[in-house]
Amino acid sequence: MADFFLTGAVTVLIRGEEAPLFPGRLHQRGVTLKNLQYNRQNEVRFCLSIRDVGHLRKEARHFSGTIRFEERTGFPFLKKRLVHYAPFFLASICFFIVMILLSAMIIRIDIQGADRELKEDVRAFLRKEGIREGAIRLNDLDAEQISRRAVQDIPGIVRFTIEKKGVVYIVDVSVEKKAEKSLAGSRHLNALKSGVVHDLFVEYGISTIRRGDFVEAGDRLITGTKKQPAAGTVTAETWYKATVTLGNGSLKTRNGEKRKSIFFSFGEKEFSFWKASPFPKPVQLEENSYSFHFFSYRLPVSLRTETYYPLKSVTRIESEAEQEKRAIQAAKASLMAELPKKAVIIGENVLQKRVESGKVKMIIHFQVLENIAIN
Amino acid sequence: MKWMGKMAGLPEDAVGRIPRVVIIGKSKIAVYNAEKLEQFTDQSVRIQLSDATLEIQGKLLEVIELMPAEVVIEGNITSVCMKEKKRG
Repeated sequence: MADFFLTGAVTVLIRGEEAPLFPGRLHQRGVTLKNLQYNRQNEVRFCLSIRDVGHLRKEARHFSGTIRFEERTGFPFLKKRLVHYAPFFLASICFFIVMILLSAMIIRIDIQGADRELKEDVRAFLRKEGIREGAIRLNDLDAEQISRRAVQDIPGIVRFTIEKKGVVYIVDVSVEKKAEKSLAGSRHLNALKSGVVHDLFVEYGISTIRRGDFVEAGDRLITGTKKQPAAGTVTAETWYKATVTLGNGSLKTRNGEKRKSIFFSFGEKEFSFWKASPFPKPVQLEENSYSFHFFSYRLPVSLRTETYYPLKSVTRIESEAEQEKRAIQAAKASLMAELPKKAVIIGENVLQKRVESGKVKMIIHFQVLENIAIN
Repeated sequence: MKWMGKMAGLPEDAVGRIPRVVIIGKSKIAVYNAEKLEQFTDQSVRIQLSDATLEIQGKLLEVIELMPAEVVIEGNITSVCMKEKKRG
């Protein structure tokens, strides 16, 4: 049947007195016929390649009965039908692609357990991670890593879980419990830390200090009444001491080359689509997996890429000034993470610097402007 | 032709267009080097060979393939009869 499928075939119905003789006549002309069936009185049905329709026509001239073409099968007819239905097929393929893209789109992000200010922080963090409403995200969510980074990056968060439910991301945040304020002391504003008052703004109450005063931690700054508790901000210069140890150890960097292996998995089985030849040893590996969803159903097809970056060790030659700068930067970054958002670092001084077997140990003093008033 | 084949020690049906009939069980019959399908109904099929006529009787006969050199017939075959063609 294979040859008939490629050339295309027609089923012919012959009716008439001489119908039983008709296939024989065609046969003598060298025509190949298939599936000859004698149905009823003088009715023969058979399959014929369209190449031989010409022979059939010639033979039909000497034939008294009726000849009818019934069914058309085979590739040429299939092709014709396919072309006819092409818009439909194209549209359905487009629909699937659009549906898969829409299923990968983040429609909503729900943040639970956070107040409005923290919500903004969380949103900003998620935006940095590439999770925002309207983004198309095919690669799998690495919830563990994101939550680890979130706890590091967002101040005041102790627990962060992110979960994907279809097109909705649900973020659950736990906030650090603030120390309970004593109600008695809430009337006045007291100093949280010792420092030199730099600026003060009293919303309500009587200030007991002036600009340039030195206050100790716990000192009263603004006095309020029972009816109207004191409110305001006291910006003071405070001091922090940081100890940094910087090793001049071997730093490894990527050298710019990369090789990517691509795997696609169908169900449980994984096939390698493209396998990169391995690099010599020091190599960094980055893994990404992409999965496709149709609505919330995960399609069994998924993609995984492994990107290898060869590493080379860099021997750094740094002058002492450079080293100092780097140490200060590192210390500043770690301090900034601890400080409240509105605090500003206005100055830094290196108190002590020691070089021990290639390692630099520094003690740095920072001057910070921050609000020290709490009630 | 026949003579040459005999000299070479080949089986007769390997040389030239000598008809060959293969009956497989009761349901299938293949005729090679048939000359003409003379008549075809579901009760009987008459095939002309080079010097004889092959008549196959049966029920629900179907010609599965009708190629220039090969005829394959399927159905409930009840009798196969070969008659020598009258010359002249």
